[in-house]
Amino acid sequence: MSTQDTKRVIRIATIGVEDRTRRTLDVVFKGPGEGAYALVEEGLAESIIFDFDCFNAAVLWEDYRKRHPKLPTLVMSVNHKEVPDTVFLRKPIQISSLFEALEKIKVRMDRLQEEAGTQLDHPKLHAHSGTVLDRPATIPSKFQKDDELDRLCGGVADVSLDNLQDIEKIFYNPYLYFQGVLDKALRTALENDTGVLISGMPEQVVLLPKNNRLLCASPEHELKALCLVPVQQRLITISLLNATDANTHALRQRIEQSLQHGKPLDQFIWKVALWTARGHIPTGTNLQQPVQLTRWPNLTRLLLTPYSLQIASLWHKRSYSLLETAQVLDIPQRYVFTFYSGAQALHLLKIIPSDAVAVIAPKEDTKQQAFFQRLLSKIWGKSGSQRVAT
Amino acid sequence: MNLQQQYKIIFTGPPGSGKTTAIEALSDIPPIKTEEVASDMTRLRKEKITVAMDYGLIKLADGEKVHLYGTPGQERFDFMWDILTEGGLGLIMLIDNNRRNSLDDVEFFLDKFHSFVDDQRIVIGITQMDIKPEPTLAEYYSRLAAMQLRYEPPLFEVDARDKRDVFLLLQILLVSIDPLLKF
Repeated sequence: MSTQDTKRVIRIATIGVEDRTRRTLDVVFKGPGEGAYALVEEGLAESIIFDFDCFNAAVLWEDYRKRHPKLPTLVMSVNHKEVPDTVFLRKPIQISSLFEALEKIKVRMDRLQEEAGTQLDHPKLHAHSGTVLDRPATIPSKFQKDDELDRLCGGVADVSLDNLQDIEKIFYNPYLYFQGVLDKALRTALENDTGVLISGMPEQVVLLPKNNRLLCASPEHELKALCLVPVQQRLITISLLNATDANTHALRQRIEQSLQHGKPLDQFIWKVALWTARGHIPTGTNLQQPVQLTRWPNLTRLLLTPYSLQIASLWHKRSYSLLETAQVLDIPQRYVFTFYSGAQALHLLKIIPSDAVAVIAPKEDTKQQAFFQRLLSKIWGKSGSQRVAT
Repeated sequence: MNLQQQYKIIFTGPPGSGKTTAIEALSDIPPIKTEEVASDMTRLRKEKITVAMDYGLIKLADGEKVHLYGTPGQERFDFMWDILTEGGLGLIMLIDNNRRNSLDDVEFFLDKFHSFVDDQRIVIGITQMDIKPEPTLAEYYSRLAAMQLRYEPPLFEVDARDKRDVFLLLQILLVSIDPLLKF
């Protein structure tokens, strides 16, 4: 194949393409297309394969073109489609026709790049793994943001219960990290119904759970780095901030500062959990144990990781295990794990005995679902870059 | 008559909670407002009040329309509420945290719109938390727990002036009704 002689990997996303076809494409790109093409999420894509025979294709197409007016696009359908500025591929797909069409896409990409007059359009990828090494400067900022959130969920592949070695890789121990210190401090504060002070860290940290406030002078990038390094537990102390014996002027000042200038505590805990977990789950988590949300996290103010709304809704309605959740929503497990780690850190989950529940997929009201889907697409397109809560 | 054109989403809450602003953020047409100069105690907090309803419209690609209705906030207009809410797909309740008895407001409006609670088609946005952070969300949840509702509605901090918040609240309402929706 002619594309094999270049070192460039074209990142392709799919829209409206059935899972089975997408898996087939993945197999093709990892087989004869290896080193030339890689399937990625939409936010990372340089080109798109769009299935015009999918449900509600016209609406999806309109929304897609609003998001990406110029992205080189391969349109596939059983019937011939004249869609301006696209390359057509007739179904059923022949591998040779697919590669021919993708060659045309590549030409369009080159032309666009020339027009843009930039050399930055093609991110470097590992030819074999498809891992992104750096991001092109031309990706719009909203997708950079989405990409960051996606990265926050790590790169852990889906696991099967049959493979113990793989399962071991998905766990981490929060208590080795700052996340664990924070959790101990939070528990202490809640048990004693007061604020607490964490000392022994690069900066002191004050927690006032009753007011949902936290004071921490460390800048975010330092905290992020801190989350990845095991902490020396023996150096750290957690002490109560009791207003009645707020014995020192400095301590009283810290409490007042926290109330006035502190950050929301739930946002901080959520972030720290996500930074630490990176798509893993705390050790001891039973993948088959049903869990349920006691209440929704305040998602309008938290980092909104992929599928967090759907997972929250599912777990608020009834209990599902982590593996069932990924299956029911048909999403990669790492997104479920990420949400689980965040919600667990905020103490918003309860474990339900396995024998008390039977797995029931949510009822599908197709007519309502189709309408809601159209409305959601409209809102999604309209909200654009505003959709990511930070 | 095309029934698809009857889809509607209701916004409710006390005066000044941000209903009109939220509808403005979502509507594809300039919203229709029925505001009058407040002549009662409300004037201390808001110069103009909605006396009949606010109306906005979301137009979907295939010609379908989603009507957005904002109920008048004041209790003396509550005869309008049943008319406006009949057949509503979902309810977005906005609560002004800066009001003296905002916890009571939640209870009052949940009671008035209990059918949406029973049908699990409701989401609550708490506004003005930047101005007055208390009661906290935890306190609202405690009040909900005390009400022993069959369904505990999700509630979130929102700024009705921030379109991102309003869009997200509507997304949450839709996904909370149907978790299988795809983004």
